Amino acid sequence: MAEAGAVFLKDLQQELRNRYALNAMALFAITTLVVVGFAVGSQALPASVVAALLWVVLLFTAVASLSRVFLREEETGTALALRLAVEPEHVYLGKLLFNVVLLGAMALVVAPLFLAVMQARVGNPGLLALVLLLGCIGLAAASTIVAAIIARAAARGALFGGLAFPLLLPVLIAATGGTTRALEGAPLGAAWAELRLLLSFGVVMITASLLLFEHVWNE
Amino acid sequence: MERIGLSTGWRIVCGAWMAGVIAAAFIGVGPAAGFREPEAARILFFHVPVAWLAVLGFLGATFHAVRYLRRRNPAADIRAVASAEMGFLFCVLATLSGALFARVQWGAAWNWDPRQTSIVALLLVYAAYFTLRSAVAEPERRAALSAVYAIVATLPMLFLVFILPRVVESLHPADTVRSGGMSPDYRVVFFAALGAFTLLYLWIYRLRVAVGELERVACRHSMK
Amino acid sequence: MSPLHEVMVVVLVIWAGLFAYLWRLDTRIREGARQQREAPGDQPDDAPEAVLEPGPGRLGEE
Repeated sequence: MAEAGAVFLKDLQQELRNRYALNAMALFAITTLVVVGFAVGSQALPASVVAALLWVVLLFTAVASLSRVFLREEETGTALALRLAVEPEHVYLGKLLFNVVLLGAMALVVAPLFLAVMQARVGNPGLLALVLLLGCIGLAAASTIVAAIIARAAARGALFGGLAFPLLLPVLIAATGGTTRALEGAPLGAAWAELRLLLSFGVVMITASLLLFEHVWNE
Repeated sequence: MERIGLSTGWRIVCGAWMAGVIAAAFIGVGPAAGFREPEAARILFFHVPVAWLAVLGFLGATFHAVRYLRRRNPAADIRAVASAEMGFLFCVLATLSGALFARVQWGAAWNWDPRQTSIVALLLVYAAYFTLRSAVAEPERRAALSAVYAIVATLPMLFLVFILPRVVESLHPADTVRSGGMSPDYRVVFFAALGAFTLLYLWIYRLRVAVGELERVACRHSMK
Repeated sequence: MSPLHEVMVVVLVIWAGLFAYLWRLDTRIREGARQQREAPGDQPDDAPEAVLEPGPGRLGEE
């Protein structure tokens, strides 16, 4: 477990040092916000549309930035050292944690900004926070294993989006539904189906990834 | 290893069976009540079995993927791709026949009905699977990576195909087959059609596996 | 012929074509498999194979 933490901290340090992914994400998110805001103008949009747009922005942010988490190792040649030093499961967990934190931090900034730009009223902020948390975990979980797969394949960037998107559809659907409820001000119970789906998606995806990661890593 | 394709007898059975189903679908049964276009309801004899087989193809791919990862047996990889290709073929047919059916019954070819969405999502999963395979050169790595992807994609796929249509409002009639919402003569033709398409699936699948095995042997010899 | 009959004939023709194609494919693959079993696949290579024999080395006297 400590090893996973070490992997995570190493990636975190690297990221804070050169801020590559953070910059890319921030730029992407801001640009998207401006574009969406411009396109929508001052129209009042229904909650379901606002929710959908928010998750589209988060989805694209994820695809733009979470794919590199294994590529860096392959490119700089540190992958071999990592394979020798750390058990596969710990590598995966460390990378997963990094992706969750990265995406979560971005969501923490993007979501309020987005809602402000949309001039949307948030009926149930607690529910919204929960949906965002579980949704980001789900996005990160699927993205991490796909990132591991493409790191071992040839055509990097374009491949990631194509592989990840079908897997992320359930998260998108559930998160959008949950966010709509949250914006409308429904109580936690009303979004129970969506929350349960997001939670089980995350759990199953992480479990499956833990079991399968070694096959990808040691190829 | 296995015998190739279907034996002559089974080939004839397949040909006759399917022809019989086609005849029965059009002139053997009457129009179906409860549809906007009662006569056009016959599409379901072709659309539903094909959609089920599209899902079966994916499950087959996952099954062989697990087998491959456990023993690294190349034969399993051949069968995984064969299943995926079959599933993909039938998925395309299901999407097209579904859109046709939708145009007739619901007025528009595309309605974002959960089942329509899920069959397209399945199409995307297949496309992703094949794209991944084409991006990896070494056979063992290709087999392993695509196997992992197939397995990882199983949960989202199962959710989209089985759970989503039950949770979200759907234009598709729910569980007509199981709950007995079909008249007896329709049910007979339906299950006959299911059998015919399954036999057809099996035939093409076994041919594809045979080709894969031949390629593998030829590849090995050419490397000597 | 009613439209229903027409559609049926069209579908039957399509199926006949598909069936014929599959039959031909099946036959040709069987042929290919048989050829592969009988043909150069099992002939030995021209290159000399590595052979494990005790040579006149230090341990050759054993």
